[in-house]
Amino acid sequence: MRHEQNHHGPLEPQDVEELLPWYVTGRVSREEARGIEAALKTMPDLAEKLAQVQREREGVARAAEAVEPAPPETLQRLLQQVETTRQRRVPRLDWQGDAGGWFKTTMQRSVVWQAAFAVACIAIVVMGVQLHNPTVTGGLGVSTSINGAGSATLSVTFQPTAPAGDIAALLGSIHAAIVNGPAPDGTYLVRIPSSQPSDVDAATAALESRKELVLTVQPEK
Amino acid sequence: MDMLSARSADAAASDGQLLARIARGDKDAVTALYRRLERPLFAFLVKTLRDREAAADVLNETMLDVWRQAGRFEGKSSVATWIYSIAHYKAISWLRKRRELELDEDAVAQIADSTPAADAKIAAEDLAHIIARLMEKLSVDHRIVLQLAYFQEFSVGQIAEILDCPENTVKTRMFYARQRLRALLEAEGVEGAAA
Repeated sequence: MRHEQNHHGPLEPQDVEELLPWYVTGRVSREEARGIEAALKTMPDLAEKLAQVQREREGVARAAEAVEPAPPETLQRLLQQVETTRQRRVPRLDWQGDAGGWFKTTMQRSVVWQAAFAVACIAIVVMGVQLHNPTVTGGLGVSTSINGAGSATLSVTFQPTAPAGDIAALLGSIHAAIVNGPAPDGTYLVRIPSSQPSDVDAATAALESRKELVLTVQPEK
Repeated sequence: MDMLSARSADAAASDGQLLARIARGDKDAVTALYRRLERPLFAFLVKTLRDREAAADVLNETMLDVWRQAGRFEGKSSVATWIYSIAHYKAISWLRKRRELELDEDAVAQIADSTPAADAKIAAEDLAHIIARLMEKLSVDHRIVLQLAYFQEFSVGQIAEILDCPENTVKTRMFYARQRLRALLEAEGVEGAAA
């Protein structure tokens, strides 16, 4: 009997009946199994209900076992597609799909990560206030997006094995922070606290220099 | 390592080890995991979709997603639960596109059935066949929960993860699926169906 979900307290008759389908496959907790076995001794009609569940299970399993295997070409097609399909290489940042969720999970991480994040956030605010030139043109023929008080955004993909702490430290070192992502292609939007072309270039170069952490960096258009 | 040794190493590897190799771009691990899951997963999809061709397509799409997303697997659930949740999502999407979900249980029950009604006293072997046939008359939600519990042998918690619903919903759905199945058995004149 594999140990599965736990049920606290004695089982009510209704609970016992609800759990019978999982009892016959051994997918109840030891405690639940003991409760069901005790009920079998005291509930006269439960044995017949259990037999009914076992018959149902046998019928369902028999029907599934009778299904012929998938055509062999299904695997061949899959392997052909695998050859031409890029894997999504993103770090495990527990992205929650919205800024609040990401912030929440971020703040639940290590002290180093929290500190780095705090540094990045403070730096964005401070530098945003200090910068007075919101007009941005792309450096070296590359455009950048303008984000409020003189910040710029980069599209960044990280190495799939890159530790979140190392990424946070890297972003902290250039006073940058993830503001969105990952997109379906695995990219994150990283905001840097300056839209000056020279700062954008410097941030890009700093990220690109850490190839063990960063796969690609593109100024956001 | 020769091909035989490699295959035997693949067979010994856990689902998690195979998935980790897939995340590193190991295509042999894709084949190994596919071979391991193909029979039960394909059977689940055939029973859910009631269409072998569509089931093969969804199986293909599911395993391609496993290849794409392997690096994102966080180990919060078992590998099998994760893969079945992908397959379930894709199967439901396929059904929605086909508008099959609009067919309610009563409509499904109207599907022509040429099999004669069973005798009142039926051997266990026959009863299993009858149940297998009556499963086809159940709604997709009921077919899915019965399959996942009785054939794939997932726990309540795992089924809740696959279907992305609370555990109590799984139990309730199972209750109604079994109730519906019993009603169909009674309609077939099967003795003891109302146990």
